[in-house]
Amino acid sequence: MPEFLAFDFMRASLLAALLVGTAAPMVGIHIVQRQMSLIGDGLGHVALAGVGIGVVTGNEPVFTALIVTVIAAVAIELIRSVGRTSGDLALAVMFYGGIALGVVLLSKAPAGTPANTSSYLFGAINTVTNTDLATFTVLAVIVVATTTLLRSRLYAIAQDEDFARSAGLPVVFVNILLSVLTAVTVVVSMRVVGLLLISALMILPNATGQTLGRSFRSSLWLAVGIGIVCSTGGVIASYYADTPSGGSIVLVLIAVFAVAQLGAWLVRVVRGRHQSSLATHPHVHWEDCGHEAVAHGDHVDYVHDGQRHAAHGDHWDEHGPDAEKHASKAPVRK
Amino acid sequence: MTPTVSPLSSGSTDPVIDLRSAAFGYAERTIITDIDLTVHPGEVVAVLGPNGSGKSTLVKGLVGLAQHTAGEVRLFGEPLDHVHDRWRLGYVPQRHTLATSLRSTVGEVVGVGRVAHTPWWAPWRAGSAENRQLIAQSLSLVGLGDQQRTDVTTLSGGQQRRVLIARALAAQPEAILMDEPTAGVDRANQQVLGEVLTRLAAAGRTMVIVTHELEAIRPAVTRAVAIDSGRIIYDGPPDAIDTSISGHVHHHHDDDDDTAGVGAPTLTAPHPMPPVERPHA
Repeated sequence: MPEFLAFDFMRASLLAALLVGTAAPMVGIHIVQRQMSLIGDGLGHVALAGVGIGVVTGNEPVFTALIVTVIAAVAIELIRSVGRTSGDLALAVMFYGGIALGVVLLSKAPAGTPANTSSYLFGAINTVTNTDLATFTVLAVIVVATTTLLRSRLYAIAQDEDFARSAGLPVVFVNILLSVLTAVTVVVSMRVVGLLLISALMILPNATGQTLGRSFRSSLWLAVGIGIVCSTGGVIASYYADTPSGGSIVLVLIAVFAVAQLGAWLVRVVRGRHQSSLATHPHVHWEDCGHEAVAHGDHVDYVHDGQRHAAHGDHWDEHGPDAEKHASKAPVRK
Repeated sequence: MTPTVSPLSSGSTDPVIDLRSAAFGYAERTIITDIDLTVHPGEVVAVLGPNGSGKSTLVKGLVGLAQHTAGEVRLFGEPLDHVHDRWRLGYVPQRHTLATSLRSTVGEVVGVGRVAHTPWWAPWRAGSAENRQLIAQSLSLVGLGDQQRTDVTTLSGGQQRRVLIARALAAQPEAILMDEPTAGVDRANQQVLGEVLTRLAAAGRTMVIVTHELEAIRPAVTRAVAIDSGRIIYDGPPDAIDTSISGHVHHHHDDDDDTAGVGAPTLTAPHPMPPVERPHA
């Protein structure tokens, strides 16, 4: 057994990191799909006001933060659905008002409370108590279960809101629910990565997933895997390097993202041959076009002027006139 | 595989769409005023008109994206706001691209058509054999059967339009409304779209197609309706429309922004009313 597992606080930290690493990318993918990557950041600002209220009134900061961020999340979605240009300013007032109120309230914290501003802003995973851990577990399970149940609806609405509405899906309700789930995720993550770094945990695993995945489904599971590995890996790294957990997790996420980008770029350079552009091919081949269609593995080649070719995205792959020759240098298809 | 994806029919013989003195618009203004239009099962109606004539608003009003402000609107014999299963009226929106900020395959986009049929508490049914089969058949009907696992952003504009049609088909609607399915698509792809629509028409699909370009879809169409300034100015066989209202629906703009009243030639001079034929009136 690795030595870090001998410590209670490390076991608690790793469990918290595991919960956050799973839940954050599952909510985050829908936020990225809506191009609202910074919403988690804004809700993180608001959460500090909730923490401040809890500390000053002597209530559990996690609960007051949860209430305040959920209210803010509903307000954000209502402002957004109205679609006014002034909505953008309203959000700015809410976000900066939240963090300012939080800082002011925390400065008035009664003497003897362990709360300090920076532990909430940047995370202090080894201050996680058993009560916190139980709360986080319940909240993370709610987030994971809800996103799993509603995934196809969340996807459908972000993919084409007009079509979703026309099919009778409850667009406004689902959008508000996503906003609330984001708020819950912010509160679950604040002790692990801190309120200023929360967005990174929701967004970065998905940025990497998008680079490596070939479909929504596969990129989501990649993102969850990356989220789990990086958040627990970051906690372990912070133990050995004696660094703050939040910043360490985010740096690990960025390193993985950079490696994935580099790999994807290399793959693009190595491929990118054997193509003729669709632009130089005025005819669209499809099943009724009159050219002979030949089943070829998982796709269809069309025979045209003695050439066999197959549509591959926005170009045609030349698959050569004879199958034997082709088989030996078959391009890998998606 | 033989495509069999078919409408979930209620067996009703009521008109699919029945408008009496109907008006549609948005909070600030009414765009379509006082329209009478009845579409029966099996009809394929082309709705023509210049930019800003309100033809898009008509479609949006019927699928619940624009407000119904006056008059009577019935779908499948029921008043518009009583229609429970909105998927019964399929919708192909006017979109030039399917690109979102996330990676999606063609099959995943078409699968969105199945969401209204999948209860939220049973997400595993999204991947059921039935759904997979319907998605494959819908794609095969639009000639994209071999593209199910392709990233949608790599498809051409014309192929993306066919994906939107497949998504509508996958919902098994009793009628499909299409908003400019051929706009901004090159000739070769327009021809393919025309053939897809003709194939659907031959299978007895009820369709209402808003378009600038009657030519590309003419073989599929059984009836043409022309709208100008929010009113119907022609309703009859597609072949008679050119002589009837020549000059009013010939303003081709491939990339119109569909802004009412902007840049559209407005009819200020009174023009002779063409004979309004209502085969089913």
